[in-house]
Amino acid sequence: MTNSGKWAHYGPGNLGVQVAFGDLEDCVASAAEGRVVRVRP
Amino acid sequence: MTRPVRVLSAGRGQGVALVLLEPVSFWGGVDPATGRLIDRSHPQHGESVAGRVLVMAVGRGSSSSSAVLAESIRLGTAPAAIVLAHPDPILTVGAIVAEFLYGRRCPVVVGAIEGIETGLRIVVEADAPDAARLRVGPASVDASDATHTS
Repeated sequence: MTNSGKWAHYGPGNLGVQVAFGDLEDCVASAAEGRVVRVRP
Repeated sequence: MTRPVRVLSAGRGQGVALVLLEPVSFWGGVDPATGRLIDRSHPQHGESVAGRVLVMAVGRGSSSSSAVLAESIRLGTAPAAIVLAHPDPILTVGAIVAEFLYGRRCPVVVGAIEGIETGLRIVVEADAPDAARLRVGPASVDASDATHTS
């Protein structure tokens, strides 16, 4: 997960991963949980 | 067909044209190890720029594209030449720095790109700013028949 539009664009080609795009709170919550978390629905 | 060009980074190069349908960032968009387009959203994803004359209307950033172009020149995976419709300082810096560091040239020129199609053979002669030109020839029979002249 990233809050960077640039990494959301280039991540799949550079890292070979699927990207989840979220805001900073989503990123911190996802890092803490170890899975993709959306703070607000 | 011969056209005058403006020289951003001098040199000579020839090869088969690869005309990009959308601009690409060398950083994140080109793998310097192979020369392939790795931007998943690009319509020509998977094509290789190595040894081709890369024809692109405009640059697309990222500023680190200078380093990626220089590295691809070092590795021999760079285009034989780059033809732009509008000047791009990022690609120009990459080509100039590679010439200083590695003694290898990838000419970068600005000129009219209308009518240039992928597959046509292009010769870029950009040694002297006042006599720089590109020549557009007929389609090459062998698309892999592309050479670096530096």
